[in-house]
Amino acid sequence: MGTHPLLKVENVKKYFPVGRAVFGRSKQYVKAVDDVSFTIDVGGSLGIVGESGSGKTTLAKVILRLLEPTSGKVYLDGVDLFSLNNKELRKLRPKMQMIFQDPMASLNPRRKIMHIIGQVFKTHTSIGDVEIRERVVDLLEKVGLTPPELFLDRYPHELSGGQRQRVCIARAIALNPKLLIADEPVSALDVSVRGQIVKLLLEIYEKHIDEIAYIVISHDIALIKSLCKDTLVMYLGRVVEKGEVRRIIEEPLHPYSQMLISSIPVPDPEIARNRKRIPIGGEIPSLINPPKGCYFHPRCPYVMDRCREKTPSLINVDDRLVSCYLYSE
Amino acid sequence: MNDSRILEISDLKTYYYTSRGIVRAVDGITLDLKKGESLAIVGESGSGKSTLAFSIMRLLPDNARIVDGSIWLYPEKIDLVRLSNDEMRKVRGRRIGMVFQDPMTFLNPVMKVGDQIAEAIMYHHGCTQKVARKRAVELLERLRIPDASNVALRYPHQLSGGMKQRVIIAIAISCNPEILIADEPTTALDVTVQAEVLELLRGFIHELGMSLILVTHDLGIVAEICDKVAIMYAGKIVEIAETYSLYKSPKHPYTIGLLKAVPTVHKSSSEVGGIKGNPPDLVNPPAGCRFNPRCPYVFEKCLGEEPPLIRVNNDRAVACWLMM
Ligand SMILES: Nc1ncnc2c1ncn2[C@@H]1O[C@H](COP(=O)(O)OP(=O)(O)OP(=O)(O)O)[C@@H](O)[C@H]1O
Ligand SMILES: Nc1ncnc2c1ncn2[C@@H]1O[C@H](COP(=O)(O)OP(=O)(O)OP(=O)(O)O)[C@@H](O)[C@H]1O
Ligand SMILES: [Mg+2]
Ligand SMILES: [Mg+2]
Repeated sequence: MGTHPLLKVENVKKYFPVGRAVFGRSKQYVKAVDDVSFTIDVGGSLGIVGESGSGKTTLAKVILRLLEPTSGKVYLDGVDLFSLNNKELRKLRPKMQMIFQDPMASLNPRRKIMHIIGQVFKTHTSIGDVEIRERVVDLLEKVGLTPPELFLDRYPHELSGGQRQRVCIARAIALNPKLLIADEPVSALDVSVRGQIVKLLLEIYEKHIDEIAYIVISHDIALIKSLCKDTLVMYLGRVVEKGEVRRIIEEPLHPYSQMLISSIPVPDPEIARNRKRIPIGGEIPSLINPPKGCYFHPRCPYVMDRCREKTPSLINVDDRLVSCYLYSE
Repeated sequence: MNDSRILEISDLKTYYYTSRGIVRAVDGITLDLKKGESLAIVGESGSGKSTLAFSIMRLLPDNARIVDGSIWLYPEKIDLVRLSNDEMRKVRGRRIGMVFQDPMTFLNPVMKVGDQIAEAIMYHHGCTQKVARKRAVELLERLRIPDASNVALRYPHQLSGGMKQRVIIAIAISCNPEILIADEPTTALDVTVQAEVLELLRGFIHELGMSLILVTHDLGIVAEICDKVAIMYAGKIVEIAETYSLYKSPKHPYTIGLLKAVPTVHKSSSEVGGIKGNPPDLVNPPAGCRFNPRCPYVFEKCLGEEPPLIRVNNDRAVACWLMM
């Protein structure tokens, strides 16, 4: 397997303007994504975990240019995505797909499932109606909406939450994308369907391992572990840790990662109600006026003086990258 | 804890009428809920959990109908199924609040989220807009939304998935309902925020005696917060039990499979695989026990006759011929 980077993300930032400060004259910004860089090789997969509001969805949308970046660069297979014009971008669209977090909002409520998925083929290929129907049936089967005939003529609102999510997955994989970003792909699904979808995503991935790269966004690190080898851990728009998922679960280094791992619910009421957790709480972080220094310091049990002064940079510690002064001299 | 009953559902049937036929999404459900109790409704995608929740709220789409059964609200013992729309409007929000599975269907896309919460507060408490807005921001803070006063001034599309979900929770709890129905309330939340939101709900249960119906597929959350669990399969309850004993010794083959299928950080979902087969089509459910095509213990009787939900001991009822 040739390892060249399929996706290269360099210093990407996305700031949203959100009104003016009460007193100053300056505009206020939500620094949703604040200087994120990583690469994924062909056949590679990367998870992104992080707190709600830490910028995961924004990062994904900027990478796919569904949102315009504030700064930074993204290369897909060598192509500088931020320099493409709309026409070029449109041509590339089927090759970079996203499974959206909010399935209902990404499905046209006035179209039937057949039309919603079929549209992808109509827009980007020249195959005829009969074959389109076959392909759609095929896809529905693949994502476990069986028998497909029962679903073709339904509207999105006639499906349960989990069924809708599977329609979104079917649509995203319709044209064998090179880059597939799945944003919380199974959080609306129960465990048994979840198992099927995980298997499905892995199958697609293995079948296209020579050409595809994968990003899975989730707040559920167990899910990331079953889909990806490596993961980023994000906190307030920044990467605080990067490494093998398995290792991060076994031995989280960054204090935020530690908090994340220790708050995972355990499916056993006895353990769940008696175990010791790293206390969460403390100050609620702000993205508009983030704290000086390490963004996590107001909640960190190990905070030291310099954490309040200067942001720690991402450094190599053993087998991963961490931005925390506990691990640097 | 107070043992008085607050809600009693008996033999409820809610069907959808479609061109393919009748979808029997809720097909004879009987349940009760005590004051201050938290009950989990767990089941596969498409098993009718949201339909049950919407039936209690009387917020069903046009093609749905409650065809049979009652939903008694205590202490007056009024049947919600037979309430006029006007009367139901007074129950909704004030006495029974709901957190919806899909936040965007219930948030107004062109109204600032703070105003949406304030509106609910004003409607139910009759306070001024200024007071209501202040309370809205406080609620957002309690739900650990960063920059709450700024977020209150934003529109839904400017919020992350987890933030929208918490706005819906804020709207539901702003009126201190006696019963809160939460349909997958934390699916978009990371575990740390989830733990905090669950803690907040727990607080409402203990301090205000609120009762909770939690619809979820996450058995981890159930273990954290619920007293009782009802397992739904294809429109029916197949097992209902006290949380501890359900986890310790599940009785219905479906429950057993479900508990085995729980992914943890140590065994991932691809390894656990889940229950074989697909959930049945609710237009033509299998004869006999609806789980029979997927059941590893199936025998003759299961194919012909539907097992009733039978109380097997004090805190458990099971619908399975193996138990009888
Ligand atoms: N259009 C927008 N205008 C202003 N702020 C925005 C906009 N979109 C997102 N934000 C803010 O950017 C931050 C990051 O949001 P994002 O949706 O990327 O988070 P996330 O990590 O995906 O969270 P979740 O896990 O809850 O989905 C949030 O504070 C959000 O309010
Ligand atoms: N408006 C509708 N018209 C026709 N059928 C519907 C409608 N809404 C839901 N259904 C069907 O009713 C069944 C139950 O749906 P419901 O939304 O109650 O499931 P659920 O248990 O909440 O699933 P999930 O976990 O995926 O949210 C499903 O088979 C679904 O396809
Ligand atoms: Mg998101
Ligand atoms: Mg549902």
